[in-house]
Amino acid sequence: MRRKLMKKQSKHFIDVEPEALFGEKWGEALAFNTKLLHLDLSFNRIDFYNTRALATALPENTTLFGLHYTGNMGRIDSLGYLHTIEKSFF
Amino acid sequence: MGPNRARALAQALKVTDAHKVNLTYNRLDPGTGKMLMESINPQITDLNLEKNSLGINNVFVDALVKHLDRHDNCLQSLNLSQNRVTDKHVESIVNILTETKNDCLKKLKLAKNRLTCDAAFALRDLYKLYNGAVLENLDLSNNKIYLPGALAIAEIVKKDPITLRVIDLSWNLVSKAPPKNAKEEE
Repeated sequence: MRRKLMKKQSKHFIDVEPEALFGEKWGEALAFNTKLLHLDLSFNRIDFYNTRALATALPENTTLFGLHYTGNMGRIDSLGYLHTIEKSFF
Repeated sequence: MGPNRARALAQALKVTDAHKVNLTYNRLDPGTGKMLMESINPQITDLNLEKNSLGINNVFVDALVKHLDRHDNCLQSLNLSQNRVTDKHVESIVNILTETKNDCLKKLKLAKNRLTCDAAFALRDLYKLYNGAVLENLDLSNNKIYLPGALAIAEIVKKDPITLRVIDLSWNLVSKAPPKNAKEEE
């Protein structure tokens, strides 16, 4: 019974999406900005949800030339799009 | 570099017409830094003071602020990385940039210091209070900037018109909330 309850609780915990304030606010800012050329966010332990929020807004920006994202839960593909990854090397 | 050599260099800096000064990794203390800063030619555009100990107290930053206050100063690039610079020092620098409506400084490197969100708030205020800031390159890597500080920088990025081209926020914890005892940890 206890095991079942724990399983239910952990499942519930996974379902609840934590606040991705960083990704949302920076996504908004980058979608608006047309001047920034280079942004280094590497090794900041940015989690899956924040990366997803950032990745959603990032295609709006067509002027950012270089985004460094190593050491977070995301990777940049050869076309410059940001993708979430399950595990990072931090 | 000891005080005697610094004194000799200070004499040379008064008369030189060089535009770039690189004093990286010279074990400069705030007193020596002050002496150099007071004698430095206002025509110098690029000042690299990386890897010294200039931020141990306020002596050097006060001299730097006086230099920035000069009407004939045309410093375009300032590197104070790895100097134990604190939030208060950044606030002093930002205040003088705002007060004098500085339109020269384009590159500010503050990597590997002890900066927290307060430094980011000060930089946001620079853009709030003074629209003519021309900063293009801002390096805040390897500091202790947490989520509130990162959101303050995002506000700058969202501002229009903005001159910033390069922002380095690597090796911080920009998506994490600051620990409750952050001040004690510092």
